[in-house]
Amino acid sequence: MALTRRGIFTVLVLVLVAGAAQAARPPKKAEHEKRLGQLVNNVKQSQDVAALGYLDGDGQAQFLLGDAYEKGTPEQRGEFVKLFHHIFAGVAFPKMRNNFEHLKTITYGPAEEKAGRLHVPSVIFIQAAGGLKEQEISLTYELAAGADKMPRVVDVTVKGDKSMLTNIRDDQIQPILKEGGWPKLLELLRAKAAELPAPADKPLAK
Amino acid sequence: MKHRVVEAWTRLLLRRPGAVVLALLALAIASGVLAQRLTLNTNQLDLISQDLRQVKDVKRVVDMVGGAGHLIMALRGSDAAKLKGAADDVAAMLLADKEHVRAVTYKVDTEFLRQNAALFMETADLEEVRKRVDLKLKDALKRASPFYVEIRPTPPYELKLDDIIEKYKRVGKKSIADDYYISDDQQMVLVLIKPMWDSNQLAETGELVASIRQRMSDYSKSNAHGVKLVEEYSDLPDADASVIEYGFTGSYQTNWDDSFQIQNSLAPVSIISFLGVLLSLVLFYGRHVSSILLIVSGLGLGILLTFGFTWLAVGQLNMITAILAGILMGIGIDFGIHFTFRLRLELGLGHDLPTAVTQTIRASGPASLASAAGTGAAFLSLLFSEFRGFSQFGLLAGVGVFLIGAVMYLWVPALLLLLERAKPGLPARLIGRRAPAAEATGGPPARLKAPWAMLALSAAGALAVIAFAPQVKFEYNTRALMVEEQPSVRLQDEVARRFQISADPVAVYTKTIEEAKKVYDLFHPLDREKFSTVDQVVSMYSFVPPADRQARNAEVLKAWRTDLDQIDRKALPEDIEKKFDEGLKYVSVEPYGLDHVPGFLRAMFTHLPSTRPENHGFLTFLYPVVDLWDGKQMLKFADEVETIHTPDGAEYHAAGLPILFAKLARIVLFDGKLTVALTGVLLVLILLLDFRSVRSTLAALVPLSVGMGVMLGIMALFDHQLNFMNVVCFPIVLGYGISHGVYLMHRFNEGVSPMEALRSVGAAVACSTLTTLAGWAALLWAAHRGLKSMGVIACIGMSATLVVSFTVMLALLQILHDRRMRRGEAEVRHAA
Repeated sequence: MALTRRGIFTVLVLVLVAGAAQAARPPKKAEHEKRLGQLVNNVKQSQDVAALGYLDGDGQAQFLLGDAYEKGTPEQRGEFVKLFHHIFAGVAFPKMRNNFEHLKTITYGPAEEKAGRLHVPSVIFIQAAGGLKEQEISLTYELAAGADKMPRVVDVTVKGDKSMLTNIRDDQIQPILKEGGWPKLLELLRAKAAELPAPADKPLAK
Repeated sequence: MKHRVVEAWTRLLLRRPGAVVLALLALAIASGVLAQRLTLNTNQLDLISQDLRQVKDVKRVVDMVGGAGHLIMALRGSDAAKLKGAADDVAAMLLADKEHVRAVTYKVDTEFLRQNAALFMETADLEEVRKRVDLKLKDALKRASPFYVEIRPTPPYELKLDDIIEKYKRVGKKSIADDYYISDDQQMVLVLIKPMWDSNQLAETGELVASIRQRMSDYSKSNAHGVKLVEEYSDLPDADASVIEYGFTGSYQTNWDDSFQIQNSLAPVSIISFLGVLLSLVLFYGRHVSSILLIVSGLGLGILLTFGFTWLAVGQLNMITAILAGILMGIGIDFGIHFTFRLRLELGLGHDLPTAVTQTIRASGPASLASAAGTGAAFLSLLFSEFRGFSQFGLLAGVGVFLIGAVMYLWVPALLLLLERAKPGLPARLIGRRAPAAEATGGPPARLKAPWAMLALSAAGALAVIAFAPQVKFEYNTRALMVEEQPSVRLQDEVARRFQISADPVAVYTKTIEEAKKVYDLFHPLDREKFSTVDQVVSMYSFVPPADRQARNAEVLKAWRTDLDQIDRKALPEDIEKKFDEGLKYVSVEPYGLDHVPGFLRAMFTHLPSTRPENHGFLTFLYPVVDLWDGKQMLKFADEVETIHTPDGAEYHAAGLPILFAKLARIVLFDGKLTVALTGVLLVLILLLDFRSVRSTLAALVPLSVGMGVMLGIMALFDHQLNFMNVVCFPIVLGYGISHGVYLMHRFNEGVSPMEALRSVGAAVACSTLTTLAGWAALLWAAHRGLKSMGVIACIGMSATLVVSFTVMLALLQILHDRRMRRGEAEVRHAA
């Protein structure tokens, strides 16, 4: 049957309506934004173990250890990542939770790919309350694809500062390695981890 | 001529003693009336020739800014807030006194200079500051970040800028860290007072300081800060924070102190001098009190006449001529002593009073006249000095010597002759008689045994001491002349230490601002080889950094601002964020010129509204790096800055108290040599005129010449140095020292033996020396070390001439007498 005039008109209307509906629908979030949002959420809700899952431990270890990474045994590297994440969760997550308590909103800028890594600018808006000054924290996440191809956070840079890993590497890891190599590093990591509670593992909210 | 004068003199006395006494009394009364009108001018500037360029330059500076230097009141305490509060109140009190106080400076708004500090720094220093501040900001950001993790604790970066701040803390000698003139240790605040008069007007300064003391006492009873003000010159603050110590220093105070100390020293010295003179007289005259009364009354009359003359000739006394009475007392009494000693001798020979008086005047008169001429010449040689203090002193003392001599030779004999008429024989009993020497009554003359041995021994001894004479040093340090540990000088040292400033600066006047720039550029940057005594130049251009440096620094600041814009200040900790905002002001400055410098800063270098039009202009201040109390350093500083030539060939002159004092020092040094040379020449001429014999002249000069050499040798041996004050004593010692030789020679030329000359005149010489010594020795008790040194040099000099008179000269006269006797005997034999 040939398309009647009425039939064409109906199809056109349907296409137009579908197009409008599609335009009106909010854009689908990029995967990295979703995962960053989940990371923030996990930290907010003290689900540190889950939050740590969004960090690229190996990538961080390679950056922090530099040449020493290859010189370490797989067991040492594994222990390093575990201890580092334990400490990170114990020190940084509570501070982040403090900031997120009065979180107003988080915005993400367009991501930029550089040397296989994704650089995502973000601004965290924290409203002034309870002694906290109103703040905008401008930062840039650096993400890398893991073995499962899912983006994970390797590093974070606050505007005007060196990146988080650069500071830890230059101020802490490399000087310790220079002093006493892997044994010294693991010894101090163990001691620091022992001071801190295990990463929180609150059940996910239903 | 001499003979006619002497005869006329004695005729007048013998015929009209009453008229002479009445005339002298009338003159004394008239002189007393005139002397009462004498005032004391304490303005030291008036002592220098007003035509000197250095004086005119200082007067211009005085007209422009109200005075050279300041009266500085230093407040010392352990609580900076209380110090500042007290300073505020003190300044307000002083400013309310519009009659006496022109201006008070104790704080200056330095906000403009602090704001632009980044433009003043050397570019390398600014970059270093930037580097350190950036490190601090980065560290603060890192630690404030929620992602900051420490495995091992690290100390936060400590921002230290003290070393750089220290370099630039001062602009134009003023610390910009605080508006107040407060020391770095926060323990002293300075209040700079500019009185309505110049620092040379000492009486007004003394009154102002006294009134300030009274006001501080009243303030201490009740004030808003609960502080008590105490005048104290120890250099540590009181442990009690409510006690604030204060003291006075600055050119106004040190000038006043110095003259006050001199005046203060003179009061007890005059009493000691008078008592010493009296004691010496009692020693030699014993129970013949009337002789003492005669001499002292004649002295008093003579001094009164001298002060009458002072009013007619000068109209006022100055800081130097204020000591005239004391000097004349010691010198003038000699005439009375020699007269009465000789009179006793003549009475002892059996003469009646009129004959004894006639013989005394004939014998002692010429000697006294020669002595007066020598002493007078020594004083009058000071007339050539450019320093009015010396020239006026020379005039008054020179004329005074003649006046007193004349009065003594009129008053004493006239009174005695009148008394003889009323009660014949009484004067002789009152005066006493001296038994004639054996040779006078035909007996064998006394003789000095072994005169050649005596001459050789005494001359050898003298020469041994004279050998050290070339080693006499000159003390240039004027501190050595002052009272030890003078409070205002100690406080000045403390201020210099706490504030790292030296003495009051000198000022270079320029008519235009462009000329001021040229002068500034000559001293900035400072060529330390060419201007080794200069510490710093301060002008309104000190508040404008060099244009090229400003341009370079502006580039650094621009790049820095760009970096700082990248920092998320809300990510900074709160305390750092506040400093961040404050710091942004300092890095946001732009290059500027003189026009942007606030008016109140520029006003420090321009004339007052009340300045005369011909003195309108600008001042550039030069601060010394050397201690100006050291005369040598002061002279060097004056040499370097008194005349300044800028590269374009223009000439400018620095003006101020150091320049004036340097000129004075040069005058004193030059006059010291000139007056000694002149006096020496005059003495030789006077003696030649008197003795009309080269041999007698040379013999009469022996005590003086050898004595002076011995004096210098003793000074060198005991390390007593010449200085700016005691060098004035040289002509006085010369003029006085000649009298020993003159009197002895005159007596010797009468035909008596040296031993008889010593017996008859020597006692008078010893007595007159002792009385003069008493006058000068009294200065040894003076707290003022300059006066003390004058006493030392005079005592050594006069004692040395006395000893030489009784040894070297005596031996020489014995040798001459022996030859005279042998010649006489040979003539007798030849005639026979």
